[in-house]
Amino acid sequence: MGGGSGSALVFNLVGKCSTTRARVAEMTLPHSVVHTPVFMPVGTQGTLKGLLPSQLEALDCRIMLSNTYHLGNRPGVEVLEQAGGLHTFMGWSRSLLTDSGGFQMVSLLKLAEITEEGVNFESPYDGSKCMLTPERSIEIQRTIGADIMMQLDDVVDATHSDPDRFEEARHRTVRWLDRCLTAHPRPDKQNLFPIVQGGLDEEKRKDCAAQLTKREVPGFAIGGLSGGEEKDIFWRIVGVSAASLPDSQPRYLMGVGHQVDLVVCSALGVDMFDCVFPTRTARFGTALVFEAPGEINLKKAAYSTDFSPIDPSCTCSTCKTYTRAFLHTIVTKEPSACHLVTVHNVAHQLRLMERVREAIKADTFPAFLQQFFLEMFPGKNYPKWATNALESVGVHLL
Amino acid sequence: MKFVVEQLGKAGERAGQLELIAGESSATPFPLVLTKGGCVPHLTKETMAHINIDKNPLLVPFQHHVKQAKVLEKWGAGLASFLGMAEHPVVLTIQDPGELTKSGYHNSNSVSVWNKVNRELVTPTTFMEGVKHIQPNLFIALCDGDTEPGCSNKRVSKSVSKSIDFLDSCLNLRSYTPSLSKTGIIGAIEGGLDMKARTKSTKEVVAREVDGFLLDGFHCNGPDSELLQFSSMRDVLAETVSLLPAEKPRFYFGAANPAMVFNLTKEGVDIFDSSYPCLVTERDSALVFPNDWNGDSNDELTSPEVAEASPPPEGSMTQSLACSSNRLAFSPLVSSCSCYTCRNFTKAYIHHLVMVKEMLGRVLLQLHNLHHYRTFFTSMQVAIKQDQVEEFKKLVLGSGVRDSTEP
Ligand SMILES: [Zn+2]
Ligand SMILES: [Zn+2]
Repeated sequence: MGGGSGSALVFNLVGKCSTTRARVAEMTLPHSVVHTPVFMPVGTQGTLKGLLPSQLEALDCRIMLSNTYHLGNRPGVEVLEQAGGLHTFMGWSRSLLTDSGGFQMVSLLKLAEITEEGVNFESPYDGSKCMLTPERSIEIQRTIGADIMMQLDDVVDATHSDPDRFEEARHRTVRWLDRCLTAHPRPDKQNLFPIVQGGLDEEKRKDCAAQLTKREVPGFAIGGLSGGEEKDIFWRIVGVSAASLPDSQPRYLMGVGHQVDLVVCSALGVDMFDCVFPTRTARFGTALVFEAPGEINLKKAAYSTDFSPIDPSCTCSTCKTYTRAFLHTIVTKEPSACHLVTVHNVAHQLRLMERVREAIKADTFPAFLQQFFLEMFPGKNYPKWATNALESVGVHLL
Repeated sequence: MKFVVEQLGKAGERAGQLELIAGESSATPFPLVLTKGGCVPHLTKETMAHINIDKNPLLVPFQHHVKQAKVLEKWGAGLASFLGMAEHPVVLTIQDPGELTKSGYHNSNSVSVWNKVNRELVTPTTFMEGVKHIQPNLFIALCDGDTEPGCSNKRVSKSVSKSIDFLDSCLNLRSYTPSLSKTGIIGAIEGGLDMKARTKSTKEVVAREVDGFLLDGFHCNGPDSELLQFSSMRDVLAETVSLLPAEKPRFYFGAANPAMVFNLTKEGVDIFDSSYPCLVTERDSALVFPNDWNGDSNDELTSPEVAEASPPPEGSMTQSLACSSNRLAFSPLVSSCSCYTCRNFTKAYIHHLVMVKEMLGRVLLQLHNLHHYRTFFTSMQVAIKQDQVEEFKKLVLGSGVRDSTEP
């Protein structure tokens, strides 16, 4: 069991796959108990795409993500401080995880410049020069009151070509972790996760993990992936990073959450995922399903007289009430359509993870994976990277 | 359809009951819940459950469903169940009162409706084919209400004669459609602001077998309908209503703010729609006017009676959530409001959602605004029954109450 008295996180392993590295745990956070492996939907600006917090509770969603960079801008620290934190402000009583703000800054702001001190950037609102330091990031995340905070890391796109830059980023990330830990005033109330970096180099990933595990932290994130790298390299780095981290603590793979990624990376020993895809794609009328190819676009004329729900086996409020034919008439036109598809897509991801957990607990995870892939790829045209990744943990697809 | 007037107020207000489905009646005056594209804007069945309108009659504009006859024919169970709202009675109208109806697209044997980007021509035949598959509980006969203030006399008389012809066609086609034998039909009274045309239209419609009347043709729908000056329509409206049989319900569609609702109920209008609160939501604003009347108020309001209500100054009826004064306002939209939004969220949070253009902002505003507008009508019913409409009006419109004939 990870964590102890005085910790804001207890990670209790309750099941293990005897073939792969997948495991099931009960993670107790200040605001809720989270069952892992878990998918965390992304509510960037203190709201999840038009859904009421009670709708997420009805789906048994226990933890969601918010973005520090956005919240720091609007509503801003002053408002969050006076509101008593983001939980109260947005009416969400369960757990929250926040990123450090660094990734968004580097990816959204062309002018961001990274120095040893922190990330230097020009405010998109008034053009003034600002600096996000490790200390400042922790300060904002403290105000937000997230159950799990991320350290500020030195982010380099995984497809970057200069090896020296990765080397610098890896070492700086460890130095910034120490500054974050020093600035983090209450480890008994909020958790701070360090981030494993090291680009696409397996040795550097191992080394980074070794440095981070020397510090006393409640869990770990794996960063710098899902940036457009080769999938065959992606899974190797995920595998190496996860394997370099202690079994007794949660591992969070940042920004990854398509269905196939979720099941494969669970097999590689990852416990937590987040991804904007299920909520973002809902806006365009795309609903997630278990049949090939994993999603349907409700705008297609084929659904205009399809009177079945998105997924007949789904118990979400959308599938219980609405047909594909009706959704076809409103997707991309009425805001309500976006809410309806979002509810389903979040429900779908949560249900997928519930199936993963059930299979791991029953020690039938390899069979689950085979079945899952067969449904997604009835022609057995499995993606090579997924086949390789699963082979590496002893699962052979049918 | 059944309708009874239970009480007549001092000034002509009517409190009654409208029964669209046997055993399910709604107290009048009340607003139909307006749908757009088959949705209550920004809401879903799950979120609507928070405002307790689960059996409220819906107002469905035909313009949003003009191309759906074939799908609905296959579906076979009517539009309400197709929309996932089977438990709601449906009143079908032609144009969406919440959306501007483009003026000037005329054709002698059809009405133009806009389906998002395309103009569609609706004839009595295509309309009644739609009605057959939509299966409403009540429908407005096809009509031409394109008589915005200032239009020509020719246009007005055309709108009157076309609408009478369409009404006859609809009545005739209904008689050949057994599945519609129990479906109520409402005749639209046209004539713009022209007294002679109105009188003619009213007499013609009253002479036919209709179940009620729509007071149509005063505006071209959408946000502008809220700007309509009651003083400009009062005489024509009063004359029209005086010709109507008392036992049948009167409908008025369009953005009716509280002042307009007071004026229209006084003229004996029974049924409205929710386009006003929906428009307020689209402006990122909340209804904040006093709307609660339990009848126990001991306020001795002694100011002289006012003949006509006009809206009080801007800002006292609605509040914009885009306004930066809400940034640190950790209180509900209306502190006495019992709606889901007010019980769970603050103005500061909604202000944040509005500023970052997050969809939840309008979800929360819509829940409040629909609740607020409904509550206003519930209070109106109480006030009519207790003969306290004047007092209630003073509470709602406050010191803004004055005769709009004043400068
Ligand atoms: Zn569903
Ligand atoms: Zn309210």
